[in-house]
Amino acid sequence: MANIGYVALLLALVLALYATVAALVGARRRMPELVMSARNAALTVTGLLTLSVVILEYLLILGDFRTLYVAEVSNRAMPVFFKMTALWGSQAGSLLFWSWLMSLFGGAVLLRKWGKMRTLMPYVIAVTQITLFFFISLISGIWTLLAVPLEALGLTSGAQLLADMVNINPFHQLGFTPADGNGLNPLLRHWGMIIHPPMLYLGFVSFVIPYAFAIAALVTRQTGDLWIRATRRWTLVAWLFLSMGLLLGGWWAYGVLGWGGYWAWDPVENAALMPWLTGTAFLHSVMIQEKRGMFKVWNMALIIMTYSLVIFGTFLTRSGVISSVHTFAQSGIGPLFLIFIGLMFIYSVILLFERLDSLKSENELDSLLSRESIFLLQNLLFLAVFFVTFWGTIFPVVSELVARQKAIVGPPFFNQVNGPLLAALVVLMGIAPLMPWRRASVQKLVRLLLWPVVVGLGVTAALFALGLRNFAILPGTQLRVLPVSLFYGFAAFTAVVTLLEYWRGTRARHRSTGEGYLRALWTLLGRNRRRYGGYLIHIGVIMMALGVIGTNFFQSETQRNLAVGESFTITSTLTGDYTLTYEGLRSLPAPDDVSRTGATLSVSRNGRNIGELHPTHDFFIPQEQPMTIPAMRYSLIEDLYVIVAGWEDGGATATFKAFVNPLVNWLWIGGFIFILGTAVAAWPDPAEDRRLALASAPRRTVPA
Amino acid sequence: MSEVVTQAQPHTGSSAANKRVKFIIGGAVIALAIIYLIFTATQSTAAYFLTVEELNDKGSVIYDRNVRVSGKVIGDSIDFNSRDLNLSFEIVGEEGGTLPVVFNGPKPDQMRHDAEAIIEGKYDGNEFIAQTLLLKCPSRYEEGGFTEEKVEAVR
Repeated sequence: MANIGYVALLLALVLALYATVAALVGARRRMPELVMSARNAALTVTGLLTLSVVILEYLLILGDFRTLYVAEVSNRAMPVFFKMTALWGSQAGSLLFWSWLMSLFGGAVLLRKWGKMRTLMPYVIAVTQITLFFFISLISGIWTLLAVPLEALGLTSGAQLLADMVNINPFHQLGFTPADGNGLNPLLRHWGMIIHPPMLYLGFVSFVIPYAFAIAALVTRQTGDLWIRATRRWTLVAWLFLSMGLLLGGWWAYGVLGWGGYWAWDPVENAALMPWLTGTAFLHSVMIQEKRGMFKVWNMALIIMTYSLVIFGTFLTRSGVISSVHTFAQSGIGPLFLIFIGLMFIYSVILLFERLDSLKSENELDSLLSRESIFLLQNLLFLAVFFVTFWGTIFPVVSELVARQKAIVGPPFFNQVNGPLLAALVVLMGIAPLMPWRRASVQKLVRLLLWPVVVGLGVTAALFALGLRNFAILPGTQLRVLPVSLFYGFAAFTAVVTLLEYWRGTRARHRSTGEGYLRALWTLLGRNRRRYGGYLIHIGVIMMALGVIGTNFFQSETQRNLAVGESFTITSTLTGDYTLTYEGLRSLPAPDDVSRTGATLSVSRNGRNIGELHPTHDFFIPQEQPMTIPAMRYSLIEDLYVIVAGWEDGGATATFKAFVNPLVNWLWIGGFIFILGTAVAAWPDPAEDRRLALASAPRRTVPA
Repeated sequence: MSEVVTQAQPHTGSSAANKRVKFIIGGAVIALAIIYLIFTATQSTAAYFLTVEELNDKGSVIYDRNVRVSGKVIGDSIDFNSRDLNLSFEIVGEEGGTLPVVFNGPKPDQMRHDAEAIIEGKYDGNEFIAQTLLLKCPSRYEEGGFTEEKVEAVR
């Protein structure tokens, strides 16, 4: 069985290469039959990879421990569901899974009617299939063939790295059949961690499609907005999945890892955030190209960066270059990744330079006060956040190369620099919708911004007066002088602008059509999905900002060792004192390979009893791995979050760590609204598609 | 409604160039500000990642700075008072240099002889006051992999 899977993988590898070459030759020599053959080969690759995935799933469910991968990530005791999700539990399987998802998207894009895209398609095939070829090659074992010549050249360590790659073939057979497997990493046995990787992978692979179209547009010099319109929905879908992956990752960390936070600026988190940042900049700046035919080079550069960062992100996670809790063990695939990213990036940049003449802007920036300028500024800020994140992530490598001394920067660095940039982005999010295209008069802007600014300042002052007197570091200094209530003022400002946009639209509909307000709001959303879906995303971001500001500046934290019957107090910034009393420790029923211990704490707030919390400690016996599972008391105002950090004498004394996380649930609620907004914006809308098709006529319409 | 514009109004060369200069200056100011922010924040937050021997060689230069040090735990030196959560132990570098460490927080399960410790905090010349403690033990679960445990000091 495993052999069939492996043969399918090898055939997919060969066909992906064939599809690339055939598509390119077919396009150059104008041989439509050859292009069709490439298309069919690409679709067959999808079929073959599907077969490989099905077979690996079969081996996992069956428990075929002779297959190395199955023995690594599963064992007999695991429920079938976890056996199935073990497909992406480790390196080899997750690379196969990645390739399969990529091939599904690459196939789906070919099944559509080609129509106007006919000339672009050969290059779309070539780009997706060469990417796919690279990923399949990593797990196919072909690189081990290079080990012998390298050895002969005396490059022993390189040869060893490549020879070891035989282990990341998901169908690699052991010489014997182990009695049982190792089992899935306990941390991954959580539904958040089960959905998180597929979401991220989907986000990653679907960004390959807009990149493929961009390259096709450059090669064929069809650099109008055809490629942008063809891929708008792909981009939104990629962005949707990437956003969901990031959010789920944070939620999982918060609910399972027990350190009281959700984001640690860990290299692997950054790896997923970086393409999201450039992708977000791209999503916004393509609007300017659609409306005004500007920023063409910029958009190309952004999608090239996003694609490179997607591959770079996979590289960071896989290569072990920067040590992090997430990384898979060191392997020879690191150098191969760097070579691939380097080649694709250099090729893209050269192509972009060669085509600069066909990317001339159709309009000039008219004024510093215009929507175009605000979008440009917003793009710069997103790129700045990206660059800061990139710098901080690669800093250990850079410092070692340049100063011969390894140094690291931690969360304070990222928070200090990215914090103000993100705050500025929240403010821009409020200004941009009010900015007219081309040129704004100062008087009109003042009139539009007056009330939102007043509300923002009012909120800042009111919160400050109510006692929210924490201060943040003023950027560029070490002085804590920036009142944190100002950040809430920013959020309030943008919230007012965005809600007013909904109100104006609804009222206009209500007046012109006589629809009731709710009905008018509903049709408004339905008729202008991009615009009002976009605003919904903005509202989600504002809600998330409430949580981010709350947890960053108002989190409280206490740690104490208690004997049974003793208590300790943690003070919340918003609601007063929680008193937690240690009632005892006992062992709890759990699966066979887990020893579970739970503590009982009774909780009172400001002297009034409000219930019990049961933080638990799981010890996974075969893996010798402990895991602390927090107990939480949720509310919209704050979470009380408690873990048991250790105990002595069978529980006579125990150490607890407690956090109060103000407003943290707004992060998850905002995240949900954010995803909902993205779905609204991406939902197919025939009327809008027709409008966009009309807009592709050579004359360019600009709303006054 | 919307007004149809075929192309932007033709600009006189000098005013278009003027505008471009404005945008370039604006962009440059923003870029410089961000680079300055990155520079100062890197300077104030970067922590050296040192071995025990390197730490001892640096001497008083690093006394006020946040540093990260890696070494192996010496089993006999581990002392833990669970009531006030005072943990002290020594780590040893590859060339035999030792460093006494104090940490105020829970004792991690993996705190045992030969565990690879990565500590972050400040050194005052006598002892290292650790703010975070990360322990790595060879994993039986994954070939060449590690199980990690990270704890933070009571603030």
